[in-house]
Amino acid sequence: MKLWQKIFLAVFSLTVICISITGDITIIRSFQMTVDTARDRAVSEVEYIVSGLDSQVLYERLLNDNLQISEEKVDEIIQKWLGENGGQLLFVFAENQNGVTYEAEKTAAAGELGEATQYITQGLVDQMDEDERYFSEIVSDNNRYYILTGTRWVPAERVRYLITWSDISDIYRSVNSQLRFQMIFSMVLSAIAGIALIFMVVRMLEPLRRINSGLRIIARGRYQTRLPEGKGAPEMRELAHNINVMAKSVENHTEKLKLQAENRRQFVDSLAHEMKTPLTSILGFADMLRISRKIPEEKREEYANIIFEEAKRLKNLSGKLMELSMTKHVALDMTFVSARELVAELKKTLAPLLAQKHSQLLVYTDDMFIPMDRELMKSVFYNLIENACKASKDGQNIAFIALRKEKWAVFCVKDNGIGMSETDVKMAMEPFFMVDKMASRQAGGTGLGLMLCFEIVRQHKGQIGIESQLGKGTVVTVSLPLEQQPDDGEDVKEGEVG
Amino acid sequence: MKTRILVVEDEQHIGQMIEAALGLAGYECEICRDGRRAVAKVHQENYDLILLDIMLPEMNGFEVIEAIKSREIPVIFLTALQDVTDKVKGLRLGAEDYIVKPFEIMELLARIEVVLRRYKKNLEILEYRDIRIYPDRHLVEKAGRQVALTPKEFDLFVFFVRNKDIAIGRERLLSAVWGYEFMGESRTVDIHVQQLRKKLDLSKQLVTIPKLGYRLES
Repeated sequence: MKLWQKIFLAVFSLTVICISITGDITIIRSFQMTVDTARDRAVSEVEYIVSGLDSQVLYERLLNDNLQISEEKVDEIIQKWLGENGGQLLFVFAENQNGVTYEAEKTAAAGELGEATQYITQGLVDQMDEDERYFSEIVSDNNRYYILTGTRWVPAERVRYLITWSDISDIYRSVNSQLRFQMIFSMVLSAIAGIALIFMVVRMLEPLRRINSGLRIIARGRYQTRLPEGKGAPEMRELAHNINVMAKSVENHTEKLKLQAENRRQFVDSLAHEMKTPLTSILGFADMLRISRKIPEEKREEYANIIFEEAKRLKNLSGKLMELSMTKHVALDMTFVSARELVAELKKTLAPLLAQKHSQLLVYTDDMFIPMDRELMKSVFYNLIENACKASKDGQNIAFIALRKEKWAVFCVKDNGIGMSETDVKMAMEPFFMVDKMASRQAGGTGLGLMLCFEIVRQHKGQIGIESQLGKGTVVTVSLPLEQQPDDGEDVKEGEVG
Repeated sequence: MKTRILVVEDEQHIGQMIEAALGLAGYECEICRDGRRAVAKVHQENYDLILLDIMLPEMNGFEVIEAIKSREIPVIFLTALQDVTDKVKGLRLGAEDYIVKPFEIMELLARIEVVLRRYKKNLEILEYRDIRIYPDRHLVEKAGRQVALTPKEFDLFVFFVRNKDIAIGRERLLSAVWGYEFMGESRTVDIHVQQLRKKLDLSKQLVTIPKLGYRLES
């Protein structure tokens, strides 16, 4: 069953039950009170009759100057009374010598009552004991209700019982009609209230329905959808708000994943192209050598050379790819490396390259120890200085500076070479990017060098940046944290490409 | 008059390779290293076919095809990408065919052959020793006398003559002369070669190269 139906049924039933119970109790109480009033009235009546009879008895006694009165006289008095007043007085029961009561007098009105009532009355009289002054009983007879009230009267020696009756059928009729009215009225009222309640409940739960349909849209993939937060109860608004927060988070995440997938795709595309190009030459020239009948000697040499060169290019490429793969999947071997030592080693390794260009490597280093993977960072700096060399003319010098800046070790490789345009600087670290394809390839370049540097520095939780001016020169800055960063448990395999 | 082909390719080695391959097949060839200059050349001179690389610096291959449409010269483009969308785009822009790098020489030559045939650019009379071939009339004369060849024998012979001194495998011959859909055996090729040798007395010239195929030697 739906929530709104449950709420409605619960509230409705409870309300109807409570109202009905209240109504019923009220009516019944009122009825009780009315009955009590009638009873009191009946009792007063009996008292009146008794006092009337008593005064007659007293009168007779005074008349006869007698303290006592005879039973016969009493009967006379009763007869007289009945003859004059009649009315309410129904029965007179008397007790004989044996203590058995019998019916002494019966009014005409009593004759109207049914046999059953008379029988009951006898029973009542028998039940009445000496302590009670009055007794009162409600009897029903033929759908009529009567209240019988009686009292013991001992004017002389014999005990007499005086019993009056009152028709209270009206009271009962009234109660029944009240109850009937209440039932009908409360049913009608409940129906109206019920309808009103349904509307109210549905309206209050309306925001839930809106939220549901909104969620369905979001779940289908339109993560930019947002739910309105302005309408409905505070709980609904809060729910809508929280769902919006979640949707935004999902949207961001999917954007990130899309970007990652796009980057990966681009990388693979570029890689495929970089591999297919040398393969085309190799395949083509080898095919030529194979199917041609005769090939002049110098052509044969030329073709063989080209095949060889292109094969070497592929070898470089696969080598760089291996390096890239390793940096992503192998943990760094971190040790504290002295900046001065590092520079000394670099100078030695770069000596032949520098000599070739007749260039000098000018160095300045602060005395500091930096946590790093020695071999990887050496290859980074080697790569950067090599690039600087390639960009410079013969005789131009290259500067290598290592400084401590607060919590960072900052390294700069500066050259006065050919420089790069702004757009080239932006693309410099993209995989396979080469500013001058022709020249780079001649020198065995793959376009992956800077990308590798970027990856390695990133793994060190450092930063790398390039500043350059066309024609003036380039500065590459690498910053590494001086404090060993705690491993934050990031899975290396998930690293983004580029 | 030799067939003139313009090759637009920025990679030096690949350009050299294509040049050598085309030379082998007897085509005259010119290499161009960038798109803009290629467009200028096409508008200034006459070419029978253009081999166009898609990945060119600055102006890419697609832009070049658009720019030279008016000259109605057949274009075959070269691409390194397997991407179907690129191939479709190129064909839609009006290219005749495409080749995916890396490719074998024979594949390149076969496709060029097909396109040239479609454009009937190859209608000049072919000569091989004392045999003359009239492609438009499907006629072959040896020492002045007509030789009766079946249509497929004729096509096969023309193909050999156009690819002199190149070893060609059975599969290549099958697809070049009989078309890609042909489901027959490669015995077909052998039988036809036998017939040619017999009818044109070429047993010494139309040789079998083990593992590679057949070669018509000049």
